[in-house]
Amino acid sequence: MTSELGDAEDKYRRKIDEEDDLILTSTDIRDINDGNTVIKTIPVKINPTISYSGMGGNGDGEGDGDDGDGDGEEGGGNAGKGGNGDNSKVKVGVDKRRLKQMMENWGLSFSKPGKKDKKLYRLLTAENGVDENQEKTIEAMLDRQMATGYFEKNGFKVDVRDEDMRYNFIEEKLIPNLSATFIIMRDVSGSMDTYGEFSATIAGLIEFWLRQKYEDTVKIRYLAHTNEAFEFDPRKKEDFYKLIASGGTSFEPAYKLVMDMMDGSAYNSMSPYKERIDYESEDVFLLHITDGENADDNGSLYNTLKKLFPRLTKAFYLQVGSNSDGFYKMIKAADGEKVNEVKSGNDVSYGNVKKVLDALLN
Amino acid sequence: MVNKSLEKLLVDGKEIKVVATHGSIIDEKYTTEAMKIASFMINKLGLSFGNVEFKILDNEEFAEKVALYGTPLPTWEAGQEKIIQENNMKYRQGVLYEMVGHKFYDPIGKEEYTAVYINQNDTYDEIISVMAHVYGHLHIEYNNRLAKSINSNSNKHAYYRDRYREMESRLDIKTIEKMYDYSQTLSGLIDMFPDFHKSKKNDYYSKEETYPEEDIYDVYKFTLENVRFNPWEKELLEIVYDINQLMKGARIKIMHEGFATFVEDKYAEEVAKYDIGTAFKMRKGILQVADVLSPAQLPYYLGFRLFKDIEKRWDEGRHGILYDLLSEEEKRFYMKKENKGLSEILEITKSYTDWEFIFSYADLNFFKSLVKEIEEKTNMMIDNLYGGKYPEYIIDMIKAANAAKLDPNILRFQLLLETENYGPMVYVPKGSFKGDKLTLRQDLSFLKRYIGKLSDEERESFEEQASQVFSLDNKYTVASLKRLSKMWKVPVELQTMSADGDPLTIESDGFKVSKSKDGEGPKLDD
Repeated sequence: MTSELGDAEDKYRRKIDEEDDLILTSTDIRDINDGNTVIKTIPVKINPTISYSGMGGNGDGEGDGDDGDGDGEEGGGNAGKGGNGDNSKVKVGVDKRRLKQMMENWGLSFSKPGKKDKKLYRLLTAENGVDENQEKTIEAMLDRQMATGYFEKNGFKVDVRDEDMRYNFIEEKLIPNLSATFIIMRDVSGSMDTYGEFSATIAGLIEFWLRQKYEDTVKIRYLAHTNEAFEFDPRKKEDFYKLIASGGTSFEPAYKLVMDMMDGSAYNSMSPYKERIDYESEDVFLLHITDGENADDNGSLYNTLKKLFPRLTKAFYLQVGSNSDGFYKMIKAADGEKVNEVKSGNDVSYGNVKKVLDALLN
Repeated sequence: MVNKSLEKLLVDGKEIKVVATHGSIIDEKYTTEAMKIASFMINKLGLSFGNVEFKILDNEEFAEKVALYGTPLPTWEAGQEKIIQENNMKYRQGVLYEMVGHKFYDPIGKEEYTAVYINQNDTYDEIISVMAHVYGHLHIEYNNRLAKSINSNSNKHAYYRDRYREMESRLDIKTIEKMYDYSQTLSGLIDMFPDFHKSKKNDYYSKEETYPEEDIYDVYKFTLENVRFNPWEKELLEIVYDINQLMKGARIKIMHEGFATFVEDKYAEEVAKYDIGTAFKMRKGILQVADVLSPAQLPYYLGFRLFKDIEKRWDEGRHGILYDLLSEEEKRFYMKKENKGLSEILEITKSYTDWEFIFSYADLNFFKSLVKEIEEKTNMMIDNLYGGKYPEYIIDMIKAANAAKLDPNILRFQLLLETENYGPMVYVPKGSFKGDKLTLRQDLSFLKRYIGKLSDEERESFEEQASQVFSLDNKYTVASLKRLSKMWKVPVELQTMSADGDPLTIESDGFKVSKSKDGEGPKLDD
């Protein structure tokens, strides 16, 4: 059936995105990343009309909020054609496809290629070359014999001519790497207490962004640090953003741990999976969420960063809160091109989330 | 071919066609049923209507049709409506069983049909009920004076859609949407009651130069005539104006639903003669929609009851001046077999609107019995809610408090008020427009009719309530004024009242909004 409404639904969705009606919490984003559809309820949009104060404020033509009908029931709603009371809500399902559309409407691009490309080899045949392929040559000979009627007259007879010769041809193609590791490194010191939801939202959206780019072959590694660092158990990822530990804050152990994960050395881990990060064949992304309060500010950290950054595809540094930006500057100095950094408050509103994502991903 | 066994359906000597389709295939089972019901409606009850096509649709198609009915243009609003309807059906909340669509022209048979949409998830009994119900709607669509004047046509809407898409392809979608939103804001200012206003025209020989020459209630049309728009803007506004004429149909809503339920009930009686099971289910369905006390179901509830009441009264001859002169004792034993119920009802459906219908037929006795019924039901509800949890005397107190709120007089009055008050009545006062400012004034003169009948005490409390209900001081109005001002490119002011009942003037220049206590406030006198 041809649709008379056409893309009216898409227009509505675009409007929701523009006006930020659809607010996804970090839990929603996690569910979407796990492949579920989240049902969100948002208020019905109406075009304002001059309307009565006492009748619920919906003066939209047929919709009439009935007021004071004697039996004490709350007004609102109209079961007839088309009309809706002002209390009505729209249920909107959000799945991967829809979230991608939303993020694209925010102006984020999913098309940026990763750093490393994979080489793909394919064996083809060609009529010129050096490495003869006998099988294909016989096939080509038979084809010729059939087509010219030679086979019908003489039966099968090996009679290879120059034009039948087939050679192997290896096609080399570079394709973007389709697997990636995403390291979420989170400062879990006491001062990070209030930033859990915000961090989870940003990390969830970046994870989604990577999953879309790498077609779901993204390995997520959770890494927590205070003045010592450890890998968090991914089976308990729900609790990762609630994690709070006492102790000072120092970044070096955390970055050292990433190095160890890449080198295959022993490191402090709560996770049962101890897989080495193969930085040579896959893309590695690192997100560091912290409030910027760093105890050590010496040269050895700088050296670690210098060693680490060439192995990364991209590093995102998200500084929440308003502490000094000493590290902010150092990370920039270590490798300006690889790092996208942003300083942000603890504002979960979409305006801020969009701004942060725009700075980190674009 | 399908219905050879059935007689031809003749309405006023002209044969009509009834068909049920499933996509492009004719559904023979339901076509036969539809013919049978139509034959009952036409021959036994005396209804009249034209060709009908029942289209049996799935949820998504149905939701689309519903969305297209209210908002025929492919806009975000239509998209939203479709999602709402589809969710309602998916989660089985507020399911629509049927919808009477627009008339359309069948180019092959060269005849005009009315499309009726039925949800394919309805059960057999529901579809039978729905068909009977729909014939009631169709009768009103074909016979009522107001319904006929609205004149909707799906081919026209298809043309509007094409024009809208063409505008979208040539201009930016956002620009078009902005204009569409503005036009929807203006739609609240279409004059729903052109027959209600007393026109005060200038004397023919008067040399006084006033503009407008009389009070203008159709502010939408006034805007179209006085603001210089781009051609495409003007066309879009005209399209939306034409589409929104449908809103006038709200004036016969109670009659529409009431009559449809009434004939449905009649058919259930007929079915009961040979298939008691189906009839029982049909009755149950009727009670589900027409016996529920909620504002949304009010048209069904009230209309159905009132038509039943009229039928009884006119069948037994309990009407007219002579009957009213009788004493209560005499009235109780009065009986004069007239059997005029049905013909009286058919007369009503021809020319009445809801207001006239309730005003002339719902007398105090009707409302007294209605109040009694509501009281019984509320008491039952209270028993269910609090019974056993609280001592007896507290439950009695709740019941008494509820009963005190129910007054047949007030109920009648509230209903009448609702039937002539679908939204604020706003007009451009005579002689107020001089080119630098648009003045709008709220019209509350219809309240006068009700105030006169109240005692002083009631009147005071009524006025207090009314100012709370009828005040226009809210965010929607303010947003609308901003939009109006942007459209007119001059400041727009609205004379209304505050929630305390004092005059209030809201003015906007498109960006800022100011409120002041001067001004005349709403119009209260004719």
